Amino acid sequence: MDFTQFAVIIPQLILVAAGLGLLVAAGWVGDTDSAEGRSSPFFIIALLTLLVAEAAWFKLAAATPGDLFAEFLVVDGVGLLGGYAVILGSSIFCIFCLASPNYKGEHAALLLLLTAALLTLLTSRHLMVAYLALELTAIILYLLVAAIRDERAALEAGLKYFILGAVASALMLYGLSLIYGFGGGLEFAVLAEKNGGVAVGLAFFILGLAFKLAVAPFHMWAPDVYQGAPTATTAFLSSVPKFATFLFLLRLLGGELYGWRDLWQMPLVAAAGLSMVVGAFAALGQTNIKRLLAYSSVAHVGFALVAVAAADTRGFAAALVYMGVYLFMNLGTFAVVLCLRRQQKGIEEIGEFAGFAKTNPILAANMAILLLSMAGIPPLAGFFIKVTAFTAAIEADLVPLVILAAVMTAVAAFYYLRIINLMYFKPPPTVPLDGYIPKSLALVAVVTSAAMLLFFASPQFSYEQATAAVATLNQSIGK
Amino acid sequence: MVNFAILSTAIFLPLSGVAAVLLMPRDEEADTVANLRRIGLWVSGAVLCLAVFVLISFSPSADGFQFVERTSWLGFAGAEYHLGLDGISIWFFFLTALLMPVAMVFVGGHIEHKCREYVIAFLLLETFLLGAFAALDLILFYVFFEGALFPMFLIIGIWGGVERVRAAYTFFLYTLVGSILMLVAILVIADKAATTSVPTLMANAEFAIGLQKWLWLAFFASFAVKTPMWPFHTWLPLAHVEAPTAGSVLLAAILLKMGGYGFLRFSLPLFPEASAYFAPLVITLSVVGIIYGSMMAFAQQDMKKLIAYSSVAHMGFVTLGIFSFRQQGVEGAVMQMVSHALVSAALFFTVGVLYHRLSSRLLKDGGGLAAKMPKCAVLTMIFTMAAVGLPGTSGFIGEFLVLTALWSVGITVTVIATIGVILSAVYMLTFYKRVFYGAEREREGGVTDLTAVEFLLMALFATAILGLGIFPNVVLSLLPNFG
Repeated sequence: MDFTQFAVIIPQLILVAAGLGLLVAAGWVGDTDSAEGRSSPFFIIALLTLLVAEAAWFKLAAATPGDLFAEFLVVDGVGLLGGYAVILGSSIFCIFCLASPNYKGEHAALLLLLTAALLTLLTSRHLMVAYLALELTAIILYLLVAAIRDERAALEAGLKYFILGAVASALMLYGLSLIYGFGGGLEFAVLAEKNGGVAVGLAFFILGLAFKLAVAPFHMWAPDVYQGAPTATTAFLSSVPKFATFLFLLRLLGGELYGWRDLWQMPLVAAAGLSMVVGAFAALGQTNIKRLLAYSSVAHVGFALVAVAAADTRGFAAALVYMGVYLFMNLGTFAVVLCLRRQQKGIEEIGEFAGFAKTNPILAANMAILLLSMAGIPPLAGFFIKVTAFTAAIEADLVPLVILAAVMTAVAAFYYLRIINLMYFKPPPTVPLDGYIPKSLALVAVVTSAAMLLFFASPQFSYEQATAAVATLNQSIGK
Repeated sequence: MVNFAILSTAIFLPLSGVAAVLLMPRDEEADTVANLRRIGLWVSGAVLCLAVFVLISFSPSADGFQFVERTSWLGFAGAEYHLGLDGISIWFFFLTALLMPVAMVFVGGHIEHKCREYVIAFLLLETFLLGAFAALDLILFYVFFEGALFPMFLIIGIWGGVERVRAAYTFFLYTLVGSILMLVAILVIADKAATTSVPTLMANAEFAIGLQKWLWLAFFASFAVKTPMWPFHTWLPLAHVEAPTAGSVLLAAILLKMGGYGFLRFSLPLFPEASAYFAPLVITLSVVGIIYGSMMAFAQQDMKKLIAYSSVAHMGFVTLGIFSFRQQGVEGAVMQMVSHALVSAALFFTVGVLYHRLSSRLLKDGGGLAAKMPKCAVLTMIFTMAAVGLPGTSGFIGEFLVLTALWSVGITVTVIATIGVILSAVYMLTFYKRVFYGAEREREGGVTDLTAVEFLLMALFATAILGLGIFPNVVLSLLPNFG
C-alpha cells in the first residue's frame, strides 16, 4: 500500500490525534472548568497543536496537488490557502477561549476536531466526505454554542441552531441521495455532466449550504444564535466555519460546477442582493453588538457573493480575498468586543461602547479601524476588497447589482459609524468597565487592525495569490 | 529639476508626524502640548517647504503633467499608483500645504484638550488632501478623496460646537452616499476603457453618449455634494458652524475645492458631450445657488453660518465658470477657487479670533470692535472686500473672468450672477458693520487686539489676497489651455 498519499492528511491526523487525546485527558482530569484555570493547559496544548498543524500544512504546499484516497481528497490552490487561514482562525479562537470564562478543557479538544473537519472540507473532492466534514463541524459548533450550560440564552441558541441545522443537513443529504441516484456517484467529477436529476439534488445540497453560510433568505437563525452563544464562540462561528464553507462553495462553483453557471448565476445574484439588503437594513435598529455583527456578516457574505456571481476567474479570486480579509476583520472586531467587561461579565449592548475612546484609546482606535474597514472606507483593506469584488462584477455586466451593493455599503456605514460615534463622542457610562484587558485579546486586535491599515501598500500580492489559486480549480478537473 | 519622488514624500511626510505624535506621552501637560504643537508645525512646515519647491520648479510652458510618479499597485482592478501635477492641481496642492500650519497654530491656544488626537487628525487629513489633488489614477483619487472623510468627521465631532455629532454624521454620510455612486462609475470606466489612468483617459476617452450621461451623473452626485451646489448644500452650514476654527478653515478652503477640481479634472475632460448636455442644468443650479446662498447669508445671525452660505454663493461662480466651456471661464473658476480658499480661510480665521474673545459667534454680540481691535478691523476689511469682489483683491479677478465668459453663454444668466455680486456686498458689508462698527459696548474682561501670531497670519492672508488681486498672472500663467 502506498503510504505516501497519507502525507497529505498529516495535518488532519495530527489534529484528530491531539483532539482525541485531549478528550481522554479531560475525562481523566474530571473538572476542567476554566474558572479555576484548569482549562488553560488544554487550550495551550491545542494552540501548540494548531501551530504544528500549520507547519505541516505548509509542508503540504510542497506536495504536488493530486487526488488522494481514490478521489476523496485533493489539495488545490484554494483549499491550500483556505487551510492556512482556517488554522490561524482556530488559533485565534484558542486565544479568545483562554481569555473567556466559559470554556472547559473539552472544548479545546472539540476545537481541534473541528479544525480537522474544516481542513477535510477544504480538501474534499467527494460529496460524502464534504457532507461528513460539514456534519462534524455542525455538531461541534452546536456544542460550542451551548458551552455555558447554565445560561438559558446559550442553551436556547444551541437548540435553535441544532434543530435548524439538522433540517439543513437533512436537505443536503436528500440532495446527495438524488445526485447519487441520477449521477451514479458522489465524486465531484459526477457533477461535471449536466443532468436534470443531479441538478435537483444539487439545488437541495446548495440550499443546505446556504443555510450554513447564513445567506439571506436562510439567515434567520444567525442573529439569535450569535446573540445567545458565548461571545468567543460567536466570533469563531461567524468567521472560520463561514470562511471554510464559502471556500468549499467556491471550489464547487469554480471547479466542476463551472459549466452550470447559466443555472446558478441568477439565483446567486438574487441571494447576494437580498443578503446585502437584509444585512444593511436589519442591522440599523440593533442594540446588541452580536446581533449587529451577525447581520453585518450576512451583508459581507452578500458582497462576496457579488464577486462569485461574476462567474469568472477574477470574480472567484476577488471573493476569495474578500472572505479572507473578512475573516480577520471579524475576528479582530470580536477581540475588542471580548475586552468589554464589567465585573468579569462580558457586556453586549452597543451603548456600553460609549466613551470607550477615553477609557482605552488604543483599543478604541483599533475598533475604529476595524469598523471602518468593515464599512469599506478607504484606505483600509475593507475598501479594496469591495472595489475588486465590484470590479469583477462590473466586468461580468452585473452593473445594477453593483449599484445596489454600493448603496448598501453607504447604508451599512451608518451603523458602523454609530459605534465610532459612541466611542469617540459620548461620555463613558457612570459604572465603568473593567480596566483589565487581557493582553492576548489586545494583541489580536492590534495585529488585525494593523493588517487592515497596511493592506493598501501592496494589495496586488493577495490578488495574485488568489488568482493563481483559482486557476488551479479548473486545472484539477483537467479543463 | 526634481529627480526624486517629491510628491510622494510630501504626501506621506505627515504620516511621520503622526508616528512621532503616537510616541509622545498621553498627558495634557503644558510641555507636552507645546511639543505637540511643535511637531505639528514642523511637519506641516516641512510639507509646505516641499510644496513651495514644487511650485517653484513647476515649468509653466511644459505640456501635460509634471513630477509624475507611476508604479503598478492594484493590477487586479487596473489601478496604478500614479501621481502628477498640472497647472490646476498645483495650486490646490500648494494651498493645502499652506493652510495646514494655520491649523497647527491653534494647538495649545484655542485647542486645549485632546491636542494629540488633533494633531494626528489634521496630519492624516493633510495626507489625504494632498494625495487627492496629486492623484492621476481614478481609484487612487477615490481612495484619497474618501479617506479625507474620516479625519474630518473626527475633527468636527470631537472639537466642534454643540451640535457637532449631528454635523459630523451629516457630513460623513451625505458625502459618502454621493461618492459611492462615483465609485461605481469609476469601476465602469475601468471596465469599458480598460484603464483608470487619468491622462490616458483624457486623451483617448470616447464613451457612448448614453453611458457618458450616466457616468457624468454619478460623478456629479459626488462633486455636487462636495462643491456644494444647491440643493445638495445642506450639510455645509451645519458642518461649518459646528467645526472648530481650523476645521472650518480647511473645510472651506480645501475640501470644497475638491468638488470644483473634480468637475474640472474629471467631468469635463472625460465626458465632454455629457457635460455639454448637462451644462444648462449646472448653470441653473449654480445661479440659484448664488442667489440663494447670498440671501441666506444675509439672513444669518451666526457669523460662521453667514460665511458658510457665502461659500455656497462663491462656489456657484466656480461651477458657472467651469461649465461655460470658455478659456476665460475656466481660468476664472480656478482663480475664484484659489481666491475663495484664501478669503474664506481668512474669514473663518477671523471669526475664530473673534470667538476666542467674545465667546460668541452671533452678530448681535459684535459691535464697536473697530475701536478696540483696529488691526483686526483693517485686515478683516480687506477680507470682506475680497469676498465682495472689489477690484484690487483676488476675488475680483475670478468673478470678472467668469462673468465675461458667461456673457457669451447667455445674457440673462450673466445679469443674475452679477446681481449675486451685489448681494454679496450686501451681506458682507452688513456683517462688517454689525461686528466692527456701531457704538462701543462694555464687555466683560475687555477685548484685546490681535496677538503677534494672529496678526502675522492675517497679514499674510491679506498680502496674498492683495497680491493675487494685483498680479493674478501668478496663478493664471500656470494654467493649461483648455480645448
